[in-house]
Amino acid sequence: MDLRALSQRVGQLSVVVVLVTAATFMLINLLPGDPSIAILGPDASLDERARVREALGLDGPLPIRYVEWLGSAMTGDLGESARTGSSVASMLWERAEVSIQLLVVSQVLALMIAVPWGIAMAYRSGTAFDRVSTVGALGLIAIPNFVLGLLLIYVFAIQFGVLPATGWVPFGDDPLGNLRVLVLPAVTLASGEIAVYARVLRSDLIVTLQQDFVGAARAQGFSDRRILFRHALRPSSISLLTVTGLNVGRLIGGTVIIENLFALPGLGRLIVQSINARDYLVVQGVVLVVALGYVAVNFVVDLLYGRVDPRLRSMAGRSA
Amino acid sequence: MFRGASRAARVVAVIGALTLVAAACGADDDAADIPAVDDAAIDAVSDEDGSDAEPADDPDDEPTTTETTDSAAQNDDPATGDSTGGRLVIGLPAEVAGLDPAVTGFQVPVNRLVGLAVYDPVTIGRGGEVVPYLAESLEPSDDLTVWTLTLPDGVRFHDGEPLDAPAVVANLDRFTDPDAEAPFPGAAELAILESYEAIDDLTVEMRLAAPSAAFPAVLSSNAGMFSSPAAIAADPGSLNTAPVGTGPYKVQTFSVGGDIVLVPNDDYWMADGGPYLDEIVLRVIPEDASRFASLQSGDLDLILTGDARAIRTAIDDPQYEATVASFIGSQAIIPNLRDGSPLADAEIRRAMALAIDRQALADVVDQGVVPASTGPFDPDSPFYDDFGYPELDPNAARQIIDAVGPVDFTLTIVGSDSAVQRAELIQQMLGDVGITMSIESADQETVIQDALQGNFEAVLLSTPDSPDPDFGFTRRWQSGSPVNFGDYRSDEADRLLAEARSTIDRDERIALYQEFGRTLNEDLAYLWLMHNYTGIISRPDVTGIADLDPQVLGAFRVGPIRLSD
Repeated sequence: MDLRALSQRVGQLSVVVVLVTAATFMLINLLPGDPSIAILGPDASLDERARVREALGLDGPLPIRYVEWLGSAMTGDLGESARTGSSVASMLWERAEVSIQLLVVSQVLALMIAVPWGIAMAYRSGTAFDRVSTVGALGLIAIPNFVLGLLLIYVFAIQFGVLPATGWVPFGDDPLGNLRVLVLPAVTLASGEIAVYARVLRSDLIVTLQQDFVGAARAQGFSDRRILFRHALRPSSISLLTVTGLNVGRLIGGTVIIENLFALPGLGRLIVQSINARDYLVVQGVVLVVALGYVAVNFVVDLLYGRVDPRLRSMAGRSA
Repeated sequence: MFRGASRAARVVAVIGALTLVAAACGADDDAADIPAVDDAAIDAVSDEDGSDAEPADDPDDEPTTTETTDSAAQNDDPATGDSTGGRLVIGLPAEVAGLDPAVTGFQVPVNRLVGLAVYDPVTIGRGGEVVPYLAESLEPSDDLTVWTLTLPDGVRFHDGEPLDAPAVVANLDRFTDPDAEAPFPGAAELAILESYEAIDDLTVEMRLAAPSAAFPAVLSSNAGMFSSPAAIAADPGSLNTAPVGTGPYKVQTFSVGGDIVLVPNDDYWMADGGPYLDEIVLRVIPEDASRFASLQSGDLDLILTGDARAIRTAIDDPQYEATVASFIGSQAIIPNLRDGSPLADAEIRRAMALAIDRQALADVVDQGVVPASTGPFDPDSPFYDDFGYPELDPNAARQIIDAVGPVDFTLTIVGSDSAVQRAELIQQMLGDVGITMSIESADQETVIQDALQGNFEAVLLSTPDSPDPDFGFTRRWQSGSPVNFGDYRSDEADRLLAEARSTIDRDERIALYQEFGRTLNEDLAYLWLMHNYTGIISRPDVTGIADLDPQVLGAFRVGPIRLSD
């Protein structure tokens, strides 16, 4: 990709990030209340809370406070949490580790199951297998995460006691423990995605397999396997790539439901608690991370389009 | 490039690489390895001989604890390496914001719980009274304006510094510092302290701006929790995550949202105060169902929970021990008494009180784990009395409404599941007698903001809990007080509060607060529902819970806790 396109992309990224963080800043500051309840408890008077507001510098005009925040953010200083006093950047770093690990493991798991399944459905489209798979896929999508998670906890943690119900073990402390605590949350999270990925791949692959060049390859006597892996799979991956990219971007912010259910100290839980406690700077920090992550991941996806399907190469180069 | 590899394989490879990168970055620098039990800890525990084995007082709903905690049986020879302490894993319902009393509010139950492990407050609530804890004694002058704090000799902070009068002064200086960066959470309570000085090495004299019999309670929370002056001088900013107190346990690892690991303070000064465990791990599990599931699966040994169903299950199941701690606080409908408000008319409030079946609410929403509330004190409190709250009588209620005309108002609630359930049931009960109630639900911040500004017709909130009623009651019910949401004004109530604050005679104070409760109910200032509670559910091998002195909203001292085999 040439320099002009690259700088264009970077420009877009900055605009997105600024818009998203500015909008968030305005929104959360418009909510009634402030961090003083989290600090002083519910039985504090208006005066006491006003004093806390002042101490935290919450009384200035919004646009100025936003610009100040943006300025510090660019130097890496995201401020301090009103609730706990610790540095927002270090909190984000700690929590991001959890969300990213969950994200990666669940997506890998989802793809490992969805890709073969999608291929199988495409090759057997119209057969009983395909129809049963469709029903199964819709079923998986229909089950709420929360319900599935609780069921898994009940079966594997309580009944059989083979996996922990909740909690988090950092990889650095105990790699095996880390894997154990990730299993149930990752499976729960992956369940919805598997079906979507498989279905998306299936439909694209069916279309590709009907194209002329596949017919030509078959006529030349290439095996199904070779046709699939060398010719058909890559161009059929566009939609899957798009959806995965969107998912990864979204899940960088963690999923609140899964993190709450399995007591994982990730970004999703952090942002909900911070919104409730009106911990403005933490909310800004998480939104910044998510926005950056989203844009970065989709930037990578755009690049990959070109690799996956040469017909899109010029499109990727010119990406608007 | 990799012509042969399929796209899928490449994607998997990239993601695999990312996992490795993420995992490598994920090595948590702060979390220490779980420590091997060190000999010093074993020695400390094995020194507690059978002489101090206290019989467990069984609360009503606990099956008898097998008294295998006689320490003689526990104390294996350290040389054999048998652990006499054990590891206790506690599940908390919310994150602990921090552990520095100058910065973090210890009126929040989870903060208080860990705070009590690491600090020893000057006083503590016990059996409805406030008694000296860290203090050797805390004596008032006759006019209740001068309080003399005497410290025990030989107490040291976790860093070895001595606890002496200058240390207390250094802490009070810090709490009252007008230029402090972070606002002191206990500032409102401590405002009554005018001056203080160290009289000698172990004595501090504190002078109040006005007489107060309730001053000891102020020192049971933030204002009475002291850190080592050396640590304060060296790095005050670190105290929130690496506190240095005098308590039975020290913090080994602390992270907001992650696990908190406590290890024993081997030089703990209090006889029979513990610590008896090798390690305490506190884990935050906000979801009630998950927390209980973790107890069931064995991942946790003890949980705090407000989920009535879980508490009821645990009470009925011999696999668990359940203690229900209830307190001064109650859930109540707080009416706005200002002119023009639909509930300003006392007759209408009376009709509401007659129409709401509080016992049914307690049975349905709270599974009967606590009784219905009839006043500001719960039945276990020495202040409890018949406060003369109207008994259920829907017919009488209907008659009042027929005479007064239809009533229509909005109840604001904080949108938790149980609050919604309560509100809907109340809506039904009131509807049956001709009162139309709409429900408006918002998050806590919004509700409190509106309540403070008087911007509501009725709001469902709870009353505060503390070891002494004075501070909380005054702020809620004294005329013109800042947290008097409904603007309740009564000369009689004000007089009773002032008198109760001015006498140290316990019986007199009890009588005055009982009179106060009756006055509140005559005026129907608050419409009581049921008492607040927290369930402490544990596995039977966790003992010592009976000695816990449940503190504010279910926090408790971890010092007395042991694990039997």
